[in-house]
Amino acid sequence: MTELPGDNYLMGKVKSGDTAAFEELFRKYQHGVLNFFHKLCFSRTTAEDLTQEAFLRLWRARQGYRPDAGKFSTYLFQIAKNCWINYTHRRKRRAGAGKAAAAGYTEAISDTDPAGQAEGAELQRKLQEAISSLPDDLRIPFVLSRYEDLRYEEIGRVLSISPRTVERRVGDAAKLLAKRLIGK
Amino acid sequence: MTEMAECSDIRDRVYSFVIGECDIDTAAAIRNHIRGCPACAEELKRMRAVVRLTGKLEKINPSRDLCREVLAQARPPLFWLKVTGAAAAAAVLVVVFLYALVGLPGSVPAPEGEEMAESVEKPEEVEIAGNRQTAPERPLERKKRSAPAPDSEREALAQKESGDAEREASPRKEPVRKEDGSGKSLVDLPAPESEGPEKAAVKKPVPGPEKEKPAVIARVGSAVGEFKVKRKGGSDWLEGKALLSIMPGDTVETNALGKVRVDLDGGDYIYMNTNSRINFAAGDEGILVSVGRGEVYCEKESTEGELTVQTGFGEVRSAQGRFDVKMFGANQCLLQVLSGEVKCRESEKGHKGKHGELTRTWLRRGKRCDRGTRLRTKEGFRWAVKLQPERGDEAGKQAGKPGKQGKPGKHDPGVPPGAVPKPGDPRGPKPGDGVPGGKMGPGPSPMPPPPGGGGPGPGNGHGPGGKQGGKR
Repeated sequence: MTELPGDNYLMGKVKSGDTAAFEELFRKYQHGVLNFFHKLCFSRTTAEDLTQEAFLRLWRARQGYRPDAGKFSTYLFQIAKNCWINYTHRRKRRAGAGKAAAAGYTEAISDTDPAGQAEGAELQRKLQEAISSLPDDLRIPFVLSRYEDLRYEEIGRVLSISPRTVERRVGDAAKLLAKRLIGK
Repeated sequence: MTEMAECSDIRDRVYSFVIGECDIDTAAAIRNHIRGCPACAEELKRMRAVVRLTGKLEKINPSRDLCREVLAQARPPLFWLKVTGAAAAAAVLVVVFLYALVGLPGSVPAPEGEEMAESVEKPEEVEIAGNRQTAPERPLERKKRSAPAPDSEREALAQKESGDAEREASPRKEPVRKEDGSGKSLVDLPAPESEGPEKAAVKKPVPGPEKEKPAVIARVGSAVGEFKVKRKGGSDWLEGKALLSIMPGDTVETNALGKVRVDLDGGDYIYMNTNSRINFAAGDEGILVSVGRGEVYCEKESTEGELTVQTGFGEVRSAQGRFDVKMFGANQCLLQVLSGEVKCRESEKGHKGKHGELTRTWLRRGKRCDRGTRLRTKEGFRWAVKLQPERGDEAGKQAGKPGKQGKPGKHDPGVPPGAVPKPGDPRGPKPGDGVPGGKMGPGPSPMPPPPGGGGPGPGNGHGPGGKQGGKR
């Protein structure tokens, strides 16, 4: 099959103000974006807020989308990444990095789905703790690779770094996680 | 990277090796090195453990409110509606004023003919056993769409093929007057033109031999390009339109440019790719979709009932999950489960005389991709099962490693990366192989791709093939 009405086609319609096409794109990517944020903050509420913000930014910036610049998913995750960076800056300004991290951790634990609490809650907590402890420059590429299935090249475009750097960061993140989850 | 011998280099890349992001040469170098280096082999085990553990992190689903809020904010501002609403109100006042001025109810000329009368959306009055009743107002649409097809058109399409000669003879709906002996209202109030056939499905059954209106089981949510619909029992194809009702027995077909999203009750969706043909039916446990050709991507997220997708190779059933079923002509069928759980059952009669097979057990995202066993991949990874007709004794012997979406399996020289094994190709996956070996065909999938990914598209390098790699 040829690439016909794909994301670029839909974005073309979105550019002309077609909300139905926007809805289509939203439905396609909402899971990915939501879980991307969730893996960064482990708070459903925050993740949903950020997802909303990301898609609204996409809507507002629809005229700036260039189909020839890359895949739509890359563009969307660039927006998502920027939303996350802005969010962390806001939090740092408000509470200071240490307090914010602590608050985020508390929020994450209390905001976890009941299913997770019922079974394997301890493992979930450990995983959340381990991933939360990664610095952003390792965590974002790791999450994009591990949970959003983006290739290194795509992650490189999202983060404006080379695929080799992505590989190194993802590898470093995995090593840190191994240390925290498995031990020495 | 053939000279990569340094342990530190190996360890830097061993995670990429585990998730299938290495190219073939690097993977081979790592494999060779690990055979003779216990420390790096240990690192490999650790990385595999990391992948396994991190895969257990739960995913969350968006709440319904999220979609509503985002779309509400993205829609154009309402001030225009307010302005036009005010103008309409003023116009009504003027008309009422003029009406009162003229004074005589009959002095205002009636709208032209019956067609105009049909288009008036107001409660109709019905006389039933001496009582006057007002038909219920038209219910609001379940979902607001930007360009809804006129209800009359939808109804006309539904009627055209439903074989209801009576309705065909008199397209305008006349009030149906019925009464039982007690004068109790058992009346099926005349559906205003705006009332969809689904309403008929929930009405109380009217005793008597009255022909039952077919229940609407789905609706075309949105469409790109062209598609057509054939009603049950009909022979003509109708041009498809948004918001078209789909009833049991209807067939929807997209052409090379068309894609359709079908909305099921409960917020579930079926996305039809181009060049696809599917038939809808209602089973005891939920909606049945038969894929004649092409590709469907299903999002079954509601907890009610099950969604069953039938192919010539077998059927896939899910109570909750997102999965993609793609037919490659008569010889292959590919199932990709993106989330949730699906159950597969092999076809008893096969497809076009050949025996096709699906894995027989419950499938869940997991690690194993062996025939007849539970499939399990590392959580968070997508996997796919390529289903092919039975070919010899090798079937099922090769177990595959589930692949991460987006990259053909590069580790396995047996299956060329990105190649869809042809029926005669002995290297190809056998029935039951859970091997996402590579691209699924030419061109990208228009199906709503898995979040963040390019979708289970054929040929774009994002097939559920194998970032994770091919078979092992």
